[in-house]
Amino acid sequence: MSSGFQGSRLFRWLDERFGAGRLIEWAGHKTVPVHRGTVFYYMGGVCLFLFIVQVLSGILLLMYYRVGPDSSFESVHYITTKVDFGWLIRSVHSWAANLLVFFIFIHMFSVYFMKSFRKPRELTWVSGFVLLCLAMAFGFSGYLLPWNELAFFATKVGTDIIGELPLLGEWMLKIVRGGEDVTGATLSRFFGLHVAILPGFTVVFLGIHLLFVQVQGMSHEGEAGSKAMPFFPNFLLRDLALWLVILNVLAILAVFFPWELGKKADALASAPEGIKPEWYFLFTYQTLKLIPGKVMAVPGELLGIVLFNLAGLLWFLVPFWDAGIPEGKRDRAINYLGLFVVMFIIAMTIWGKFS
Amino acid sequence: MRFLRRCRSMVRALCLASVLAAGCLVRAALAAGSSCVSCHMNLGEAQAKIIRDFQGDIHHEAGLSCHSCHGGDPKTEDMALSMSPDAGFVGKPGPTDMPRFCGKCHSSPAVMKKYNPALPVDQESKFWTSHHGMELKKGNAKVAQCASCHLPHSIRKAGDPLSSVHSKNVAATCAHCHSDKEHMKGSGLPVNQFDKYMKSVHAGALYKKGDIGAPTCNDCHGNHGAQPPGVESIAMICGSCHAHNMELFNGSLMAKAWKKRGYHACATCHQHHDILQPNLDMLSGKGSVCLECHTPQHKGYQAGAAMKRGIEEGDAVYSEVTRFIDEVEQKKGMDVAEARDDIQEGRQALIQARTAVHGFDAGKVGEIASSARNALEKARTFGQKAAREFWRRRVGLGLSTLFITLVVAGILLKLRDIEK
Repeated sequence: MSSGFQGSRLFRWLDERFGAGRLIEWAGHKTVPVHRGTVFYYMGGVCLFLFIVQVLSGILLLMYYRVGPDSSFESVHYITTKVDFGWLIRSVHSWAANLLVFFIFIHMFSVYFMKSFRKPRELTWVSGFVLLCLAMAFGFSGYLLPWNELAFFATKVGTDIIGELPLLGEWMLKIVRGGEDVTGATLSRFFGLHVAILPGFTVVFLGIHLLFVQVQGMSHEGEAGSKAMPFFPNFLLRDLALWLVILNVLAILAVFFPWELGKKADALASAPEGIKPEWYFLFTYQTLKLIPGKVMAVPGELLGIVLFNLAGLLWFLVPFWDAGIPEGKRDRAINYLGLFVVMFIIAMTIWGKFS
Repeated sequence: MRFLRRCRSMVRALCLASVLAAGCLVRAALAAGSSCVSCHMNLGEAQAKIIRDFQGDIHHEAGLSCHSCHGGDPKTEDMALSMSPDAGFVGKPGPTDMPRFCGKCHSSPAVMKKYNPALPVDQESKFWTSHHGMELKKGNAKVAQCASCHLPHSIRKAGDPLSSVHSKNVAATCAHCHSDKEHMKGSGLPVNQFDKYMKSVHAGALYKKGDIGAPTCNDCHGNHGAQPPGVESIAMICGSCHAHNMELFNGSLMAKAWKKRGYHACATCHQHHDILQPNLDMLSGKGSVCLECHTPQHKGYQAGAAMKRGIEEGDAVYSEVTRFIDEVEQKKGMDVAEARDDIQEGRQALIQARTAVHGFDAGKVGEIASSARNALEKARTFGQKAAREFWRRRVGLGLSTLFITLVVAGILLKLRDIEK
C-alpha cells in the first residue's frame, strides 16, 4: 500500500514541495531496541495518546462548560445529565487525567531505572520533568472547575500551602487565588490556566520532548547483543493496539465508575470530613501532615515545602549530578535512590489514603 | 482507679470553686454596702440561698437590690432603723398583695422605660382579668400570682433556658399546681392536662425536636391573662399558627353547622391537651372522628372516606416512586436530580391535600391528590428513562469493546504476518 502511495501523483506533489520522500526514508530506518525493558518504550506513547484524549474531550466539554460560581457546577451538571454522551465525555476526561499522571510516573521511573536520562538525553529528561509538572498543574486547576464542595475545599487547603512560604507567600497566594480566599476569581484564573496557559506551554514542551526523541533515537539503541524492530510499522502497530486497549479501559471506567459531581460548592458551609487532595498529591500532603508544627524553631510546614522543593530540584537535575558519581558506584547509587523514592511515594500515598 | 481519683479531684475543685464564688459574692455585696446582705447571710441556709440566687436574678443584673422591692435602708447596720416603716420597709408581701407589689414598677411605664422599654406594662391589669386574678380578688390565696410562676429572687428572662417561664419549662411550672390533686381540690378542674400535653404532637415538637417555637400552655391560654379558651375563640387560637387550616375550616359548610350546635372548631376532632399527630384514619374506618356525628351511610362520612382514599393512593405512589428512584440512583448510579424535584412537588401536593381536608370538600382534596400523583408519575417516567439509559450504556460499551477487540486482533494478526 505504501509503495502504491509513493507512486501516486499526490506523493510526487508533496515530495517536490516538502521532501516527503526523505521523511519516508528516515522513518523506514527508525528502529526500537528489543530487550527485557522494551515494554517501557510504549509508556511515552500511552502518555501521548492520553494527552490527545484530554485535548479532544476537553474541547468537547468547552462547548457547554460556562465558567463562573453561578454557572460552573450547573453547566457540568447539564453536561452529565442533558447533553448526549456528555456523561461519557466528562468521565473520560476525568479518568484520562488520572491515568495520564499515572502513566507519566511509570514513564519517568522506567526512564530513570533504565538510566536513559544520561548523556546525550539530559534535556529530554528535563523537558519530561517539566511536562510532569505541567500535568500536575493541569490536574490541580481542572479539579476546581466543576465548582463542587470537595474541589472547593481541596483547593482551599492546597493553595493554603503557598501562603506558608516566607516573604512572598502571602503575595503569591493572592495572585493564585485572585484575592484573599477561594472565590469566583480563583475559578476564572484556574479556568484560564487550564484551557489556555497550560496547553500552550505543554504543546511547546511536548514538541521539544518528541523532537529530542526523534533526533536522538531510542535509548540503548545499537548496544552490544541487543536486537531491534522497525518503528514503522511493527512498533507503531503495537502502539496502536495498546492505545485502543487504553481507550477501552477508559470507556469501561466511565460506564462502571462514572465520575461523581457531588454537591455545589458553598463558601459558607463547613468543610466536609475527609478532605484530601487528588491521589498524586497525597504523598506530599501526608508527609507535610507528619512533620511536627515546629522543627528547631522553623515552622514544620515550611520545612516540608522547602525539603520537597529541594528533592524535586535534585530529581530534575539528576542527569547532571549523576555524571559526578564514580563509575563503579553510579548505577547502584541511582538504583537505591530510585527505589527509595518509589517506596516512599507508594507508602505515603497508601498511608494518606487510609488515614 | 485513675477515674475515681480524677472524680475525687474534680469534686474537690468544684467545692473550692463554690466556696470561692460564694465568698466573692458576699464580698461584692458587702462592698456595695448592703446591710440586708450582711445580716441575712447569717440567718441560716434558706436566707443565704436567697442571696445567692439573687445574683442570677434579672433585677440584680439591672442594678436593683433588696431594698428596691422590700424597701428599708440598706446603708445602716441598725436593724430597727434599716427595717423601719419610716425607711419605706414593706417586708415580705403575701400572695394577695403580690400583683400590686410587683406592679409598683411593672405597671409603671415611667419606671419600666428606665430598665426595659420593650417590656409591656399591662401584666398586672391582664392578671386581674385572668381566672387566677379573679380568684385572688375573692381572697383565694391558693391560685397563682406573680411569684408562683416567676420564682422570686431567681427571676430570669423568659428566653433564658434556666427561667421557670422558658418555653421548655412552662408546662412543668403550670403543672406544679395543676397536676397537684391536693392543691386543685375544689377547683373543679382536672389534673391530667400535663400528662395529656406531654403525649401531644406539640410537646413532641418542643421536647423531642427542640423546636422552642412549638406551643406550650401559655401559647393557647395566655400567660398573665390565663383563661381557658372559649368555644368561639378556640379556632382563632389554633389558627394563630395553623392559619391556612383555620381559613379552610371557616370557609367550609361544616363551620356554620358546628357553630349552630356549639361544637369546638378544632378540638372536636383533634382534642385539646392531647392533640396527637393527625392521621388519615381520622377520616374513615374504625377510628374515624366523623363517626362521632355521622353514620357510615351518611354523605358526610362518604366524603371523608373519599378524601382518605385519594390521599392514600397518592401516598402509595409516593413510596413506590421514591423507592424506585432511590434504586436507580444508588444501585445504578444514575443522576436523578430532576426526578427528585418532581418527587418534592408531589410530596408538597400531598401535604396540601391533607391541609385541604379542613375545607371538607372531597372534590378539591381529590384534585390536589391527583396533581400529586401526576408529579410523581413524571418522576417515575424520568427514572425509567434513566434506567433504560443505564442499560443502553452497558450495551454500547459491550459493542465498542467487541469492535475494539476485533481491531486489536486484526492488528496483532497483521503484525504476525509482517514479522513472519
